[in-house]
Amino acid sequence: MKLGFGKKKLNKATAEDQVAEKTVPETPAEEKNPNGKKTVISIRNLHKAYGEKKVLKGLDLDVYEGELFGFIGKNGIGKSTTIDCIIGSKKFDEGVITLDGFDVKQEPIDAKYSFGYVASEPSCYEVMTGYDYLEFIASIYQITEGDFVRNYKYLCGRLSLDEAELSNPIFGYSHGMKQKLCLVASLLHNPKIWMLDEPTVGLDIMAVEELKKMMREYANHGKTVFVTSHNIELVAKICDRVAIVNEGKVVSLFDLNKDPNRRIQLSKIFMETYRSR
Amino acid sequence: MLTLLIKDFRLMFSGGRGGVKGVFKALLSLLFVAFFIGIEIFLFSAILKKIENYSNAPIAFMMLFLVIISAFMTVSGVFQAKKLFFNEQDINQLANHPVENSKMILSKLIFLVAIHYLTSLLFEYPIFIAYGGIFKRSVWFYYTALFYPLVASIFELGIALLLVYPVWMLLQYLKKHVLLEFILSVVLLFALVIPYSSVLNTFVGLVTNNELSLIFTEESIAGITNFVEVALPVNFLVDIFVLNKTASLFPYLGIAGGIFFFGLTITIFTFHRVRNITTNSKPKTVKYEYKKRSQIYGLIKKECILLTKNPDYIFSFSGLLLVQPFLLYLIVSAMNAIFSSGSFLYYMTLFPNFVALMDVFLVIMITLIINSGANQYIAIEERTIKNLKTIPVSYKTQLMIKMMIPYSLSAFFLLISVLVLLIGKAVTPITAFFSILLTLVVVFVFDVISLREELNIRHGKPRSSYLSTVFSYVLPFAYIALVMFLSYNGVSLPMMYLMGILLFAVLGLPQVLKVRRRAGDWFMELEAIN
Repeated sequence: MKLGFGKKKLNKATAEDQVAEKTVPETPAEEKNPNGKKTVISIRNLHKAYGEKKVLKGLDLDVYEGELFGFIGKNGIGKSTTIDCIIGSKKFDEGVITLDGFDVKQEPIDAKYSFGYVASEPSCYEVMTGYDYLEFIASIYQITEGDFVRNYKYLCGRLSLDEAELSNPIFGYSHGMKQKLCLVASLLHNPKIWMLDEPTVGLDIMAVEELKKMMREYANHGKTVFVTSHNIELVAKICDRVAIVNEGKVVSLFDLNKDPNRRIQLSKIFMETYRSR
Repeated sequence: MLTLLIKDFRLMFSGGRGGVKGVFKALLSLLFVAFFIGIEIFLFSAILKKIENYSNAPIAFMMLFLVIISAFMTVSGVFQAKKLFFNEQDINQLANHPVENSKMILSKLIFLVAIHYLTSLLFEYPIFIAYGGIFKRSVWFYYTALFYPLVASIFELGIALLLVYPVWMLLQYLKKHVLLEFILSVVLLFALVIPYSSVLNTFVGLVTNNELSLIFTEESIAGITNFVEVALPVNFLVDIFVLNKTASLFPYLGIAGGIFFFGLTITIFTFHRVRNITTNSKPKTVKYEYKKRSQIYGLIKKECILLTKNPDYIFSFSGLLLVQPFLLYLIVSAMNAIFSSGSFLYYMTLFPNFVALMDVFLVIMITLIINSGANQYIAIEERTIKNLKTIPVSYKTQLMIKMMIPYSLSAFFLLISVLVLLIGKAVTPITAFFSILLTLVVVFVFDVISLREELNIRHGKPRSSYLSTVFSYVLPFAYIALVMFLSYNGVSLPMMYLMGILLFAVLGLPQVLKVRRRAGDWFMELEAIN
């Protein structure tokens, strides 16, 4: 295993570790797009309704390895529903979602190993200490002793989460500290996909800047970052590609690296998307 | 102000329902209150009638009851005041709103006094009704008695307001020192069990000897009289409201009013302080040592932390488990003594196995009640339901671990409790053996049904627990009624036990199968909070 950040802090798993981690699934046959990049998140014809209200109406999307992907849309348009369907937290009515080649319905456990997820509101066990929580996550993802220590120390350092605070119960943490802890927990097992749903809520400006850097670095190291945010400027600044969702489908998809003008005009495009419909 | 009062009402009674269910719940509550008042008047009248010929005994006993209620109301006042004044969520929310501090405090105070008065009235007024009825008091007595709880609340709430901040501080401290919290909870539970055992012994003595004079001796009445004469605030209040010595009113108002205003001043001061401080302790340097463990180990550890570090569970489940053997022995041996003496002996010849069946029934009920303190499998997760759904562990494994930890603990303490009963010769070996088997079956089915109810919590509403209530309370009663009938017809004891195991297993099996079949869907439909 290799944590997808700067070269100094790489952690290496031995062959022994790989053999011991029998529960960690093997990646199935790779599916590649015409550009030669592997598709890591694939969504086909996704439908989801809450009672009579149809939220997703045949959403299609491909996200590739090594890219930082922004998923944006106005409030209540189905961003979180989409992300909930991807991570297996909500059932969907129709369609197929695969993560790193694993179908989230047919192979949910394998699919869940492939991502680390951060919700918009911190969701950690408040009666645990920060360290207890990280230890719990480590045991669930079967992280070795060496990887655990290296990863949590490195991530805490990056996010300025004081290690000494980890011995305190989480209920005493500020909102920002809880969110930082969730960010650390989401990356402990060095997932192939990092899913972030409004990750900057409650974070101070320094932490937001650091998080932006981390997302970029993570993608640069061949991992995939999937982020939803209301902060269009943040998305425009850091993402490689952006999808705008409306009426239950992806209505616009831009490669911001190929078309830098879109990066500058993203706010305007966003506003026009909803004004014209 | 009205908005603040409504908000405080919701804060105190969160989880309320609206619509038809709300009306139904309110009607049920009203019926329960009416039933409770009726029972209280009936019991207190019966006791007063029995002791009315003993000089000074009725007034001494009335005062004793009022002292107990007053103590209970004071303790309850501390926790009500804590919930109103030192609720972190409420403080945070109010901090963002343009509400004057004085209005906040006044609304909380009005609510506290109102709720305290109504609760006290519920407990105390029936005692006055019973007393007035026996001693033929005038309408004026019943009218003035309506004000007794209000006047008493000045003193009770004064003490509560004095204690609320130290109690809040203590609880904040204990939150960070779980072992100490656990030890204190167990000590407190044992401290409650000891007076309970003496009350139980008195009751057993009353029933088995059927001789009031053994209890109401001149010494015991004198002892009670001496005690209640110095027991504030009841000594003053009984003078004023029962003995019509109105001169006691002013010294009482002076003492109680002083305590109330002192308590209120401290609470206002500390309320402002708590709003402005952070409760987090200074970080300390700790050396961590992580060892790679299995997923099962991680999940078990998580559940144990949730069960043992949550203050609600420490008191209701973990603490009660430890006192279960002692409590069960007390109750079972008391019941055995009652049903093996006096006029009961005659009836027991008609129902030869009544005592043994009653013992099994008590073992089932007490184990169930304690176990029910730990079966909020999903509710305990609160905002972390999404974690359950996103971690790479099957829902079956997660739910199994959630259910089996409290069940295993209940089973372990059941074994110890029954062993204590056996060693103390409170039950026979056959009864001990079958009480374990029967209780294990009943608790298992109860836990499965609770899991079903927990998995169906939707839209932030509290769990609907009709099915588990029927299974845990109605069915054991029905079983006991059935076996009494069988006992009358000479059916052997082991046969009745086996029938019980079969009955509960057969009734529980469809539930177990349903949960097994639907748990996956219910799990996915659980609402994760974003």
